[in-house]
Amino acid sequence: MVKVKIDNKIRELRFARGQMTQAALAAEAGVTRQTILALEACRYSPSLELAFRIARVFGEPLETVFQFPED
Amino acid sequence: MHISTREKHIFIELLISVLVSAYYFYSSYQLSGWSQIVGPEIGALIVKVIVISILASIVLYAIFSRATLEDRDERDLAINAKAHAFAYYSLVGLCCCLVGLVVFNEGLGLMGNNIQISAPVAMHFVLVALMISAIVKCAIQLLYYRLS
Repeated sequence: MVKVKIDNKIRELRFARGQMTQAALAAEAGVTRQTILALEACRYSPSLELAFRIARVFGEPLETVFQFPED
Repeated sequence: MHISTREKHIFIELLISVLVSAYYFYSSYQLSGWSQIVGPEIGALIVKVIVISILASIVLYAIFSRATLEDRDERDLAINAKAHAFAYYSLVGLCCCLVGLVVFNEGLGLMGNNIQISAPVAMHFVLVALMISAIVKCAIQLLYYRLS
């Protein structure tokens, strides 16, 4: 099974929320800043739980924050 | 190049593993070669190795990594699991090599008198396998952290 990179709009949503820092988002989502960094660079795919937590931090639906690439 | 606190910890762990292993294998070879074990001397060497690794840990962590380590999150656990998997495969592979050596050498006599797999030699081979798997674990962790 080929590993697919999940896209996201975390960086844009952070900036749209008053320039929220990676550290602040990490603290609210319960992960390290390095994980947020890896997520924004699409170098790490979050678990379903983490994806939901991040979406909840932004108050947005999951599909707004994360996008599964089209084939 | 920014290196996180966790990466520093892993690098220090890798460095200590390499240095302590090198010290042990060099000292044990000086004592009696690797083909025999002299009980009290090897016992004293093992105690020295433990003390040196504790002291090295204290010194290196104090110098290079004073920052508090954050709790592991899911990404850290995932990288840890992958690194342990690679370390396990390398350990199993090396142990299979040892079993193969013993079978071909002692059991089938296919390697002549060039390699004598005595119990001390086998013990040191296992120690080498453990050392290599520890190094593989740290190296894979560092690789995954760098890739992400």
